[in-house]
Amino acid sequence: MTNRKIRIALIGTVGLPAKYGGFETLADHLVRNLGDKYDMTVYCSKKRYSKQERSGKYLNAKLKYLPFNANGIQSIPYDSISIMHAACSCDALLILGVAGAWILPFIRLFTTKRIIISIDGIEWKRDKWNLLAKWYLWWAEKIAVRYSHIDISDNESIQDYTAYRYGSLSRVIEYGTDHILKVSPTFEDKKKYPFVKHPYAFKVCRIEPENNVHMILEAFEVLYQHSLVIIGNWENSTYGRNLRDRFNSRKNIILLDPIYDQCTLDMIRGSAIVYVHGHSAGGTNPSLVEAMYHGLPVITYGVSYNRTTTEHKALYFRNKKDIIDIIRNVEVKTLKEMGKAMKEIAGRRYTWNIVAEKYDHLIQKCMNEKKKPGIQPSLARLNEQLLISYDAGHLKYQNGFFEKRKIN
Amino acid sequence: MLPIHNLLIPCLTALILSLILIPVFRSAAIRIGLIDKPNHRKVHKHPVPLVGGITIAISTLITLMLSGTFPSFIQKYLIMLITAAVMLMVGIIDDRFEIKTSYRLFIQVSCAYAIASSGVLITSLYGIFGIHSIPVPFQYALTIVVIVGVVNAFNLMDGIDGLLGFISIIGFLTLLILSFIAGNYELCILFSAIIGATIGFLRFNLSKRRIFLGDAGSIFIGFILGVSGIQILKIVPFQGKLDPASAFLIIVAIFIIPVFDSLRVYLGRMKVGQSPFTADKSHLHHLFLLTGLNHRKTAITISIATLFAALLTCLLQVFIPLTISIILLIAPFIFLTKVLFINKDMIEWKSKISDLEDADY
Repeated sequence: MTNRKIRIALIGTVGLPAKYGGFETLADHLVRNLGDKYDMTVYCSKKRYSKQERSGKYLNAKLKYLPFNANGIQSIPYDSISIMHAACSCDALLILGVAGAWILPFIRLFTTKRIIISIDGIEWKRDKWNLLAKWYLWWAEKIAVRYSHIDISDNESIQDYTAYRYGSLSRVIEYGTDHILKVSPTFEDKKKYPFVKHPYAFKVCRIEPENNVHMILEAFEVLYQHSLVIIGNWENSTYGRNLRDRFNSRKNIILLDPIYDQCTLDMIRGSAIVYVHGHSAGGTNPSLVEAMYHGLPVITYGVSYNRTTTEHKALYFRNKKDIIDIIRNVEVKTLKEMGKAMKEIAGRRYTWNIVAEKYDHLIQKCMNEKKKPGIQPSLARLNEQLLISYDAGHLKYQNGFFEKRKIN
Repeated sequence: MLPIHNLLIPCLTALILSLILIPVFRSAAIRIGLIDKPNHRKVHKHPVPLVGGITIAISTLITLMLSGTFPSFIQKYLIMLITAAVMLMVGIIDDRFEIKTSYRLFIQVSCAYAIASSGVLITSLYGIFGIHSIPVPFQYALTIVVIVGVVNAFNLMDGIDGLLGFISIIGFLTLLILSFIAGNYELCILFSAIIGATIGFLRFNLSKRRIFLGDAGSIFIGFILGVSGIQILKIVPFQGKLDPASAFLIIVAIFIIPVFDSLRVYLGRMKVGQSPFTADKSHLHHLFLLTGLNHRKTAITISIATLFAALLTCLLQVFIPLTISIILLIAPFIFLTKVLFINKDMIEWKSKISDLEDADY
């Protein structure tokens, strides 16, 4: 008699087929790689898929639709109702984002379903949210970590944060990048985007202050001999519109609207000689790791997450002056070697095979895991005198792995 | 019924008196050193004279003496006057020279005992948890605890310009209305005078030529409010116009925010092993300031909350039994405090995370 496949629910994404962002691409690849092994159901937003598009099925996975937006304030009912429904029909819930976290204590209390939650960076800190939203996200993150069987961060620096704040061990699973294409510019491309014929620095991101777009633009205003191409949603905010007005007239700066065609985007990105990354908010950023997979050398904002993503092998800046110094002084040879190093890292860590395998392993683990591991060994709970009598006093007060020693 | 416009006269008299007296006392205070020097914990930046309490007390006293009911006032409320004066004096000495906490506490308990002995006692719980009248030793104990508690609660509340001023005006206004309904002329004049004097104080407290209430002022006001509250309960049965239990509820409502906040602060300090009288930054107004509100808005927000509590109880007391009303009052307060603490935690963690994020390897 064959065992029934484990039923997994994927909650919190906009839906499949993927046409929005990082979470959706992740969902797509999970379904592709794990759809045979597990019986998967993905919850989607009715608002993003027209009636014709709603097929109810994607590869091997079932699709269920909810009449809410997956983002913004509607994400709370969106996630909550998905969770409740999944708790009745699936064995394990894989939840992306903490909007529905308030309901998890009840799920733990009344059912034996397994909960894996991905906490998606340190959302409550981000300035895009108002005060009420920040309070809710702060509290929801705590509930999510406390009441899930396994919680996932997408970056080791976030694992440090959860260890520091909650004393428990997060699992780290990053993103895959090998869906990008290696595309050389065609004759048509060179006509439409003449800048690809010459060396240029490249950046693609949402145009928000926390991505330091202004800092990079100001630096390249000074570096007038170096070209910079930035693709982003300039028209979506006052910040973006102001920047565009201010810098569009510069000859060496080219600001493009969002390009949704993967092929074109990869062509422009792949033809650059260096990737500039300004993100300061939490987590492993898909656009950064995709650039690494292209084999592009990376000049990035020196926050812990970016350093961890690039394994400290990229060039880091803190302000406009740093960017200018780096670009003026870096040698082509260094850039080429760095590009190879980035590609090596991406190939080793950021492929969908690896990501799917990690999720697979976690799902198997959570079906059996009783308690979330803490960051101190259980030996530390023993009486201090007892430990000392066994010459093991040092085990009582150990540094957490997240405590970095300052080297002066 | 007493004519209402008679009540405006003491108010205006006290107001004018305090407006005249404050500048005088202010310069005197600067000369003798009765000023509040800023430190890391306090929210003000320059030294400020601590004359609010003295001026309110003296303006009120003079107004009372001018009012014509002074002889009958002394007859009925002599002990309250004397103990209030003692509290004021101790407060002034504390402001200038810093008295040890245990001495202050002892004097507060003694004054409270004097009040209780003079017959101003909480004699019944009016049906909370089904308890009505309580035995005499408990009456003494409860009265003393309440008075000392209220006095210290108001002392703690005095952290932002205008906060205590607004809250005491709301409190005295409520008591004024209650004593008006009860037909107690003397108390009406007292409250009306204090309100006037406090308005005069606020005019300076919220201006550039600032003065503070000081420990003297907050203790004095807290004492008079607390004792008056108990006094009014004794005026039973309000000539039949108001149920004593309802009056009890309304009076409790005025004190809920200061008292519960101070209880929470004491418990919080004891929880981390400190004495409840250690100074820290965990009062309600500190928490509000962390949400980004400025001083003025914080004072107004907390005052409106007190006003809201008082008004809410006026409504509730008609429909809902006492025990449940009290729970309904306390619950939002607890929720609000929880949210404010979440905010405080969040802000502390934000800076911890910045350290983690910006560490150079």
